[in-house]
Amino acid sequence: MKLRWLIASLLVTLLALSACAAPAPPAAEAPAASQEEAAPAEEAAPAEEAKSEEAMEPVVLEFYHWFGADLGETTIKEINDRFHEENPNVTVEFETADTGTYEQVINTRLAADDAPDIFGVFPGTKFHPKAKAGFLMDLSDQPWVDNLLDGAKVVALYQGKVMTMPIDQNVIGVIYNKQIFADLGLEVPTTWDEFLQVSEAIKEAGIAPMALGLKSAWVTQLIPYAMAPSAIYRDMPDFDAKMYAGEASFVDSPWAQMMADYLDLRDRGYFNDSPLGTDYNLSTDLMASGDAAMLVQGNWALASLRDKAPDIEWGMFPLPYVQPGQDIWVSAAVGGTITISASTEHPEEAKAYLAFWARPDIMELYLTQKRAFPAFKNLNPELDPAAAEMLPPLEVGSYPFLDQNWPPGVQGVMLEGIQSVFAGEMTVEEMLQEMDAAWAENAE
Amino acid sequence: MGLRNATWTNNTRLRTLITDALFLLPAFVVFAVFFAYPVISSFYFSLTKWDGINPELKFIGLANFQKLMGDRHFWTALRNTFRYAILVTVIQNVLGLILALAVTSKVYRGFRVLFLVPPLLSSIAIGSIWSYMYAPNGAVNSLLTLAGLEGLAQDWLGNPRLALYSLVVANIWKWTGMAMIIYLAGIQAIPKTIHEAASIDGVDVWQRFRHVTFPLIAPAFTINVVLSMIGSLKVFDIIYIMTQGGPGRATESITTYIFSRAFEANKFGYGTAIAVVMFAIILALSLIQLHFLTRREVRA
Repeated sequence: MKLRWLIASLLVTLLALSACAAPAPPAAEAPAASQEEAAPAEEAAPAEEAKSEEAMEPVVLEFYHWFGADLGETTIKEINDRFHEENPNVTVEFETADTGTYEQVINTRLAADDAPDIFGVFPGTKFHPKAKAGFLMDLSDQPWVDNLLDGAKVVALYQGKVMTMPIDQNVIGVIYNKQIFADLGLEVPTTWDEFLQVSEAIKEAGIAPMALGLKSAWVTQLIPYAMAPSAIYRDMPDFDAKMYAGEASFVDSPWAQMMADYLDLRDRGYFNDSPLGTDYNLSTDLMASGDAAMLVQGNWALASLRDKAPDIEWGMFPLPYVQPGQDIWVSAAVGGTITISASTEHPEEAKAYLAFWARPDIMELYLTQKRAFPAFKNLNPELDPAAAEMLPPLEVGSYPFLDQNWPPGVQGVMLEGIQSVFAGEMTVEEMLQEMDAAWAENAE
Repeated sequence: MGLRNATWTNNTRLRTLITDALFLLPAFVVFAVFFAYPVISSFYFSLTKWDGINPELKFIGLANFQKLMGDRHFWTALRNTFRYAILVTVIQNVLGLILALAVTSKVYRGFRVLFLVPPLLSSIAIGSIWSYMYAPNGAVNSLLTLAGLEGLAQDWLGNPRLALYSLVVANIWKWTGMAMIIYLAGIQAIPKTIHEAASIDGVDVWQRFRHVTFPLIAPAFTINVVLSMIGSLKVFDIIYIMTQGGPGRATESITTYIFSRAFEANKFGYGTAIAVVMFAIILALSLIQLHFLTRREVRA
């Protein structure tokens, strides 16, 4: 009896092992398909040309992006429907994930050889590993490249080639409740001292000067991001280059003072109670209910604020982290980009789809819905009136969101570090040392 | 025909053998493809430097494990995980047993179904619900204020000294019903005759529990302790939904640390190395627990 079982299980093992051995490469697809797909990674022309000849065959493009949560059912669907009207043989199937999980899903799909035809990548150094691994198509020869704003184009480049199409820009500033400012007779502050005075006046009126939702890790970075353009990059535009060269460090930079001032705002009682237990959503609730007067956020928060409190008049001004007489620089950067998979079976249709997005009427439709700033020249989207107040400050000077130029891995250390500092579990010095270490470890 | 008798039996033997093998095959293939293969390949990944995207892996031997020893965030995560697992295991089993004893009585029988609802809900739903309740102006603090206990109101998830325990409570709330049902099955399996004999001997309620019920539900105790220990050592969903390991690293568990290394910092090799260490720890602990707990099991 025993022997029989032993032989039986051995036999099964052998069968299973031989079954395993065959699909050893990651894809478990039909062998023919995987052979074909191995080649296009290095741009195999013949197979693709053969396919474009049958262009009128119905084509389905898979489009994967993180911006669906707000816009997927409305704006993106409308854009896709319009594209289908003009290109009846092409259907775009849109899928989405929230920003937090998007990167993990797309990385897994790319590694598993299951790339969507068209997908989003985060601008700047974040997409470089994907370009380096050969997953993205070189789009440098596309007609829309010339229309990109310089600041937007920079974060789409990898080794001098345009690898993705920036579609919008965002700014970080102070969103404020104009009614509260009017009631208290307050003016928009233009220096750090004025900002502190305004906050004090609001606090004395029994309102939280600022809403802050540190429980959402990404929120923790917004105040330093709004400070850094004025505090660092206006006078030291080559700070990041020096960091890469090992000639500068976070510890010996204005970061120490920035963090000290950030904590000072808390110590003066200018934030809502328990920011560490408050998340982004709750921070916008505080603004909508009038329990807080200011919120350092991106213009994207306006959509949710208007949703929650349609009757409040919102305004926006740049965080004045400056001494009198100094220029305030704004934190402004490309938010989303769209790129094409290097291994797509429908490169022509995918390129046509991107060109369609770049068309002024489509871009303006998207930007108006998204309430975002353009990444292309000569566009006039209907901006949110509050966001539009950021246009003149933007002319003064701006710098991208810091992580877009950082090596991967530094931002995560910073986000956890700021939470730890606010929780009293870590000093500012320790946090900056960890960021320096992460930079050294991840910069290549 | 008589001569062929031997071959005939051989043939049947072979045939039964093949039949047996074929019946085993589907389960084994699923097991091999979806469990054995990934597990074995992750041992290999733990010896590499890999960003999770690039098709090229760089073999670096045991360097990941070496780095792990000096990584203080790993030790923080390990300490948090053990604190979490021990609290959950102890409290969940005590509560589960008490509930099981309670719902054995006819009066509270109807509550069985009620207590089984939380284990059926998804962790994402439970994490969201508890996040709302723990918010600074959420249900927990509101109830405390209503009861005139404003002084006890806390920033349950934002205070690094409380956050881990707040998560423990949510975890226990979810899984105690499961422990209860296993204990209940154990209690109901005890033959009535033993209880009757005990009554004749004149035992009181405590003695009956101490000397009859508790020893006889030892198998349920074993499985509950091992399951809750393994489950809470591997906890991910509730933490990820409620705090993402924060504030700072106050609620970072081994699994959230693996996730942040592998998927957020793109260090898959390092992430898998941590996973391999966790696998070894859980395996060792489970074997030790099983060894000691099964020894004290008795039969009715």
